[in-house]
Amino acid sequence: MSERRAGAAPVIASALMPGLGHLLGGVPGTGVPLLVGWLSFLAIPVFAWDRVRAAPLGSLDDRIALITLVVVPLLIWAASMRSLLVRQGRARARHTESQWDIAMRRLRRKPLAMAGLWVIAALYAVALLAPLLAPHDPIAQTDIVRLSYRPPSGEFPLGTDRFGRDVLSRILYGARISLAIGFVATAISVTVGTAIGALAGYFGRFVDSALMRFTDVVLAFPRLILLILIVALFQPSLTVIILVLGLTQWPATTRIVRGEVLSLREREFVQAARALGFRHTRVIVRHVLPNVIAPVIVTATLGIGNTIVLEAGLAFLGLGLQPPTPTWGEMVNAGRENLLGAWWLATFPGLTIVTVVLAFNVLGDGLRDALDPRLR
Amino acid sequence: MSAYILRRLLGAVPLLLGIATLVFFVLDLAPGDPTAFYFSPNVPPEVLEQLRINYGLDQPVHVRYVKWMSEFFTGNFGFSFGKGRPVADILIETLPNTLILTGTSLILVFVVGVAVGVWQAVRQNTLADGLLGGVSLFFYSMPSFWLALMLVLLFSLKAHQWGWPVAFPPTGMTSVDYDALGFFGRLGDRAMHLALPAATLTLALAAGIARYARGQMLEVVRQDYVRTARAKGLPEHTVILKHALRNSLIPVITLLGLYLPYLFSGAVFVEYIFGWPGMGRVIVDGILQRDYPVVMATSFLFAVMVVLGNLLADVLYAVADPRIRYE
Amino acid sequence: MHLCARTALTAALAALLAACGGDRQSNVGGATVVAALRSDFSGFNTITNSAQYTNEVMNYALFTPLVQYDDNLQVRPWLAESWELLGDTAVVFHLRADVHWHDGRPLTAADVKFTFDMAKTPETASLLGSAFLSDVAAAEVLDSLTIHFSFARPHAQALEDFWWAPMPQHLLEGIAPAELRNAPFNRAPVGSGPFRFVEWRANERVVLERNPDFPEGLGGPAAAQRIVLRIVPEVSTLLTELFTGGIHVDIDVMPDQTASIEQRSGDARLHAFPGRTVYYIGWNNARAPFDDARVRRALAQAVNRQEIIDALLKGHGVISTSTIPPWHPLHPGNIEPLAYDTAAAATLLSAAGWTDRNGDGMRENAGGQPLRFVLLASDDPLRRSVVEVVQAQLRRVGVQVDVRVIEFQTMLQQHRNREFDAVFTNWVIDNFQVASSPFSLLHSSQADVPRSANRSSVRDQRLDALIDAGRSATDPSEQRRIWREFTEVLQEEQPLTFLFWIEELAASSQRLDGVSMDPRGEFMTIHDWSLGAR
Repeated sequence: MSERRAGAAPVIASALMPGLGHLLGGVPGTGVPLLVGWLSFLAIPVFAWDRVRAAPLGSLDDRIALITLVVVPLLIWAASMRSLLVRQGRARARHTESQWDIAMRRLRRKPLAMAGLWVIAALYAVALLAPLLAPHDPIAQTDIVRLSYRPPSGEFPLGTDRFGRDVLSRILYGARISLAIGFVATAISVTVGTAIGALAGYFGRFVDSALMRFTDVVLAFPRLILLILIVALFQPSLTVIILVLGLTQWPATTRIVRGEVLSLREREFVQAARALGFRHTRVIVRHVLPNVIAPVIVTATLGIGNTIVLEAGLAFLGLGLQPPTPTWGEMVNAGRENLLGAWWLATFPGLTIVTVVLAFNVLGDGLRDALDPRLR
Repeated sequence: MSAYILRRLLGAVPLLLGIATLVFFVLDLAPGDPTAFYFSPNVPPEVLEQLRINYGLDQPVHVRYVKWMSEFFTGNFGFSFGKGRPVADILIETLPNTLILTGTSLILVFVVGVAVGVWQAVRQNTLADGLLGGVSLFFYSMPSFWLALMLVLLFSLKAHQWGWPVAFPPTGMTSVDYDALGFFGRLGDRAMHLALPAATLTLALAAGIARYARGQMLEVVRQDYVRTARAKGLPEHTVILKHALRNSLIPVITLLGLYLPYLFSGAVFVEYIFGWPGMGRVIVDGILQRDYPVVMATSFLFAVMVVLGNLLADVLYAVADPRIRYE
Repeated sequence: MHLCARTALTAALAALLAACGGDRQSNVGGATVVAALRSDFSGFNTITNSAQYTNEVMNYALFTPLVQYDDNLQVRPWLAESWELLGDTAVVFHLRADVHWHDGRPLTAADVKFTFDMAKTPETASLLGSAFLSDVAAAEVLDSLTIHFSFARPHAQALEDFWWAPMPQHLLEGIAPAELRNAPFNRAPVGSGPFRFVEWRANERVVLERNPDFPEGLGGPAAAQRIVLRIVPEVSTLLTELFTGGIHVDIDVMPDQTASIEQRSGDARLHAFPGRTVYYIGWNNARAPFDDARVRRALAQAVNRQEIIDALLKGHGVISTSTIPPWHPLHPGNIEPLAYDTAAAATLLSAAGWTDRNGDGMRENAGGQPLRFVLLASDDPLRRSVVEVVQAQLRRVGVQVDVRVIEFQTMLQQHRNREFDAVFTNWVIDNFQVASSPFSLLHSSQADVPRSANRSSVRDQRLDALIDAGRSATDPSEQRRIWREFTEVLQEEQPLTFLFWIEELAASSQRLDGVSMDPRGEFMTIHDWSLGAR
């Protein structure tokens, strides 16, 4: 990482086209994604000008997409300038390096993990920009007799489903559902899991025993069966699915957190805090938990991928969200019936799931390695 | 050690009791009605009521609970509402089918996973490592039902359509003329029917094991005793296979013990898509039809598998690693 | 690679190659015919059964019902070689002497009476006894081959009550009625029909073999030596197996698959015949806005039924006007179904007070409430598709439909308890009796009975009068007049909006002879199924 003052050329280049400066400075790892992102965002108004123009008059979705279209390129530009200036020593880094900065730096050295990160970022961008990107309406049925089960073509790049709806558009809109569910459900499960694990590890003995017993009961129940049971009981809605997925995934986090807390409990700084008379709550929240966050984040990242797969599985069994909401799992299920005649219906949504989950897994792996103190 | 095992088994009893109770009440809360398969609307309500009485569903819930529990733990699993036959018979018929599928998969998972993982570790940072790692990651991220559909589509349906020399049968455990085949014919028939379902289950899990085994192997290879073995001039494959492998396998074995319950519930999708007459389909159909006796018995069985699987994993761990002591 | 690994690999490859030499599946045959369907059978017992395909296999393969139907859907002799109707009050059947149970014992009138009595016993909870024999009061054995049935009241189409087969008394008599459903006999039946039971592997297959002693008077021994009924849950797989010769009859064909079958007409043929299932939307007549007949009519006119039939059923369906199938002799011809007319629908809705008052494209009433309701359906591909299309169609006239596709049991619960706005479901005509369905579905006497079949709370005096008259009329021209008026009132009032009758779809291999299917069922000619040489 060079601190010497390079010429002004890269800075001017980056001001015009973020990422270019990095490329000129020999840092393609950051340069390429920035450049690609910038160009993609610019391309959208060029190719979809009509829709961009109509956006302010449209629904909330359209307006969010427009805002994203304006804000994100600005952020890219700002980040690129900042990073370049810091690199050249013209600006100072914000603060001294923390544990996170070290981890981030190591993460940046892993091309695979970074690729996963960019894919996820692109995914979120796509989810927000769906109204501007999707070539057709994902829900409206136009001419179901003529358009059903069309193979991939120019007009419908990934084919149509039984109602003549464009598969590509439905996949793009489906990203929102999957990401929302994945994120929120995992957030719930990680929170609950951390809470229980921390309490069990910190207090030990009876509390530990009781909580671990409870965890065992939840674990001993085959996950899928439990999910099916619960969703079959209550009508599947977004809330129910998120809650169910969140409240059945927490044992994984609990075990890890408990293990960490058990060992942390004996460390000096915790003993010191207790000796100073801090209450348990404060010790847990201010001293123990921050040291536990690293493995929790890794579990969470891997958990999002897992949750997306589980949700797809539920939808596959018919226990997913109501029509006409597009979700990837339900689209694969719809493809089952006509597997031989309309293979594109089951294939493309499934590939999307694989790609997304792959990205999360790769990022999670990278994070785990980056945060692992032993691999220093 | 045997004291430890005994303690664990005894401790499992209240756990299983708790699970059985949980399932009972969850099912009871569920809306829906086993008499619904009588959905022909010509049936007068009195008949439906009579059916409920026959099934004992008119009794208050605590009466039913006690009755059911006492029967259950004396081995009487009752009669399936939907099929009109003893649940025990259903289990005896379908459990072996599931075990054939998941047992084969488990062996393959272990063999393939460890082989790939070790190979990757030995060839660390080469193209082979990267490629295999990528492929592993790919399969690891795949939903099992999608993989099953793609395999059926490609190697069965399309293979038949395009006239490939080897096209796997898309469904069932055996062909219709199975009984007319000779010994090797039967073996081959079973193998052909088992191929795609087992491949589905194996690929995703083997990928996970491969990643784990690779990590373990890499750690072990850095240990001193491996360096010593190499310094002694032993050939490389002896070093790997005789010294390193054994020690890296220990955690992998425990992972297998934990995978055991997953193989049962993960087989649900596979059983549906491949028409495999196993326990996974039985339990899902049972849930959807509110066939209480079937759901109870199979849930219980699953829970027992989990408990035994965990215990097995811990015991194997202790057996393999003399540093571990249980009192 | 190590030696042992290589050996293992070679052995595995050898086994694989040995197993797949050529298209082995097509050697299945000789005289074994394989049919496949998606779900397993329930117990083979006339008294306790309620499943459609199980019923067919019993009536056509395993057992001998008292009567059968001919090509004109008229009742013809089968087990009963002749009968006498004693006015409106009773019938006497004379049974054939040459029918035996598969264990050798002769089939007598005692078996028929035993079956009837068990079915009528309340503890058995028998569909046969409660629904099909609801108008038959008692059975009396006159001699070993003669049986007398007395009717509870005079009713139309009396002979249609008897399309069921007797069960062997000597094998079932000790069993308590409440336990009959669980009897081991049901899993290993001893029958009297052209096929004997061999084995049943749950969720896998049922195997039947020819009965060499089947009487010549009923057609003699069957053509096929063995019939295997396989259970295959995936429809795509069913079709592939048909094309590759793994099965010879595919019972469960989806409308989307008909194109593939027609393309491969050298290998397979499509059977499409009018079925006994009608799909309808049940409006909850006790709830606003469905208590207003104008709203119901408007909604019915806003649904483009023909588009649904063309797009989702690929043309294999017929617009429905009532519970009477179009192929039934008593169906009133020349009645125009309510036309698809969005303009008329809009007018009606506005007249009923629902207009778009705030410009959002959806209608509201004077109090500002939007015209919005939940359409319930159980989860299967056809229903999912239809409710999605209906949702889109109704949106075009300013009606907001929230679709709720839920698991069958939950849906049924809500439907039965009358806790719904509108539901999309089906109705199956179990036998060829016309009068029973309207009574169960539409008669006001049922509207208050909890969990009856009149779940839409229909109370219409005109309909009540017509249904009552139709149930007791015995003169055919009188029946026709009554049902014609009944259908006309239905179009006007739309308490339920009948959408379409589906055609049953099945496919069979071109190698299979003797296959024909019509409303009598897919398994109708199972006696004659045989594989031609290829």
